[in-house]
Amino acid sequence: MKRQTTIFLLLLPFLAVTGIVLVSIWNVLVQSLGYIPAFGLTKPTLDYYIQVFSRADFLSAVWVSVRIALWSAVFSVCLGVLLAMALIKCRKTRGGMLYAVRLPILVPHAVVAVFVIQILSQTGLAARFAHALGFLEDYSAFPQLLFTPSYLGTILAYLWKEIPFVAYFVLAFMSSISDTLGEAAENLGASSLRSFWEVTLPLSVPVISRAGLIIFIFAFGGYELPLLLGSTLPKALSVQTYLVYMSPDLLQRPLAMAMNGVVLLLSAGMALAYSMVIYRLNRKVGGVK
Amino acid sequence: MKLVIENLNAGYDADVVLQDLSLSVEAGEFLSLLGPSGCGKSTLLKTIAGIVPAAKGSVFLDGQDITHLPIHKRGTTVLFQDIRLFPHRSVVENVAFPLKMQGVPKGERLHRAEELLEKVQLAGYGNRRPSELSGGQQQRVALARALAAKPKLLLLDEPFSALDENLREDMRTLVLQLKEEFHMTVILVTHDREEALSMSDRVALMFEGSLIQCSTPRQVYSHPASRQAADYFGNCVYIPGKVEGGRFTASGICFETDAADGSYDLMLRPGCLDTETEGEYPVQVERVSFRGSDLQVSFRASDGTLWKKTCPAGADWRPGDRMKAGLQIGEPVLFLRNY
Repeated sequence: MKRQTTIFLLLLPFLAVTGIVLVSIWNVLVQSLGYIPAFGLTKPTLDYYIQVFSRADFLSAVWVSVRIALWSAVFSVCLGVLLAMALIKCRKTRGGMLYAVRLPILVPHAVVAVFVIQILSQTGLAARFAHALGFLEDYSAFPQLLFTPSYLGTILAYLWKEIPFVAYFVLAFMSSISDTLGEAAENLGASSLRSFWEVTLPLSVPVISRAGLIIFIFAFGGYELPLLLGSTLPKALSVQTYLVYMSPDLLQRPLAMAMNGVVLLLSAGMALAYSMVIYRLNRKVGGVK
Repeated sequence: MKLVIENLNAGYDADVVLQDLSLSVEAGEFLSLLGPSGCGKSTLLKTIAGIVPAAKGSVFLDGQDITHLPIHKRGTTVLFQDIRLFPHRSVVENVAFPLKMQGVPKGERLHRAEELLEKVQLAGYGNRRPSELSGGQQQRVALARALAAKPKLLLLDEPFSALDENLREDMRTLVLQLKEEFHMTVILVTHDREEALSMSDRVALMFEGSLIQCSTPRQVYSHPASRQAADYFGNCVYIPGKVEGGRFTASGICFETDAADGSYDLMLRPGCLDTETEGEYPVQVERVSFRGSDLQVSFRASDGTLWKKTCPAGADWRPGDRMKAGLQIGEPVLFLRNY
């Protein structure tokens, strides 16, 4: 009896958080179907979902968010893996260098946005250095990287945070592969680079893809960076949804919830696709989890 | 290929493991590095392979200085204790891996890999994944893969220690067969005394990063260079005595020697105690242990020395039996007593 109570108490925080998430998801789904008795909406309908997909600003917002998520994930993974490889080759997988790598992960996204504005805006540090060194005649000649429809500033901010995240996420696993199987490959005639390409990298794909998917889903639903560094139009999905949600017209609430419902379904679809890919990869690499 | 190591120092960061170690291995020779855990034998092997960098000294393979060459350019291949097959490749792809690194076309390398699998009695296993094989089969695949690299020097890092006794014996036989067939120079790291003595042309005994003795198995066992070397093989008996005027004398033992005057311990192995013929050395049976194929009989001599001798399983010894045994001293080994 005491043992069961202990288990229950230990699980309580997890159950509480899961409960809040499930209740929120339930609320989103119910309200997205137009059922909000407090606003006099009592008849469930799919009209709001139909309305969502017929809005040009929503579709362009989806496209913006997919583009931000995709580029952030792809470049973070590529550069993060290269950083991890460099750390492994320099045998800097512990100690001070690892703390330096971890530092950007700890910085909040809003602070990262401020850094990026300070450095990359047309009056930022990069522009000033370029001007001081004579590369630019005027600050305004510095390319416009922030607040553009390409969302380059947002993607760069994500890269600043997520490249170290990928490196840190995959480092321990890649290091253990490199120290054993990578060493075996070199011992059999593979150069250091070839050993990485033939052995360490393929065996690390499940872990790398896990890191990539976490970044993709996070950047897809991320709010602060697209809001602070993105353009006025088109908006990112999270920003667009929030604006509709905060509309003074409360009857817009089911529409905002339908948008959230779409985000939810897309995220769930990605998680499912990820599980299937990981399952197949794990089978292919002989059970390396 | 002849290996020459000169004044080698190596270790991990500030921890120096090997100290001024010199060793030479002839082409086609089978040398075992024997010693207790932590004595530096695996570090020596990894330094030869380039996995652990040499801090000082030189390693020459076939006259070429390979001390600072990268691992993949050395022409040495290690067979690791933990096997290290690539789990994402099939068995035949594993064996073909070194050939792929050498640029051998796919068809040819797979054909040669299949041939090597036949050599290690694993024909037909090529399409399996390493995880579908037993430990012994995995180790044979690793051996085939090492052979595919055509190493100038094959380095075996306790490759049989994780296998059970029967498989271990099979692997030893297979390695010796393939060593002859491929005319390889082989260095085996082991802490299994029997394995080192039975497989090697020479045994190099290591303690605390230094080479204590390097000689033929018989020489190392029968004429250990130091008391430490003698004790490593265990089961030796020390009989205290004195050398005076070129003569060693102890209780019931006397022989001529070149040793200088002083107090010595005469080292004898259990085989020196001859219980088949009557002699001048009184002993009493203290304990008899049946071990299946033989008996271990403990004899207590009148001077208190305890002898543990292996006798045929059918021998009729009982605790309390007394006899006067003979002592076949052969070439005596004396260690100066400094206590």
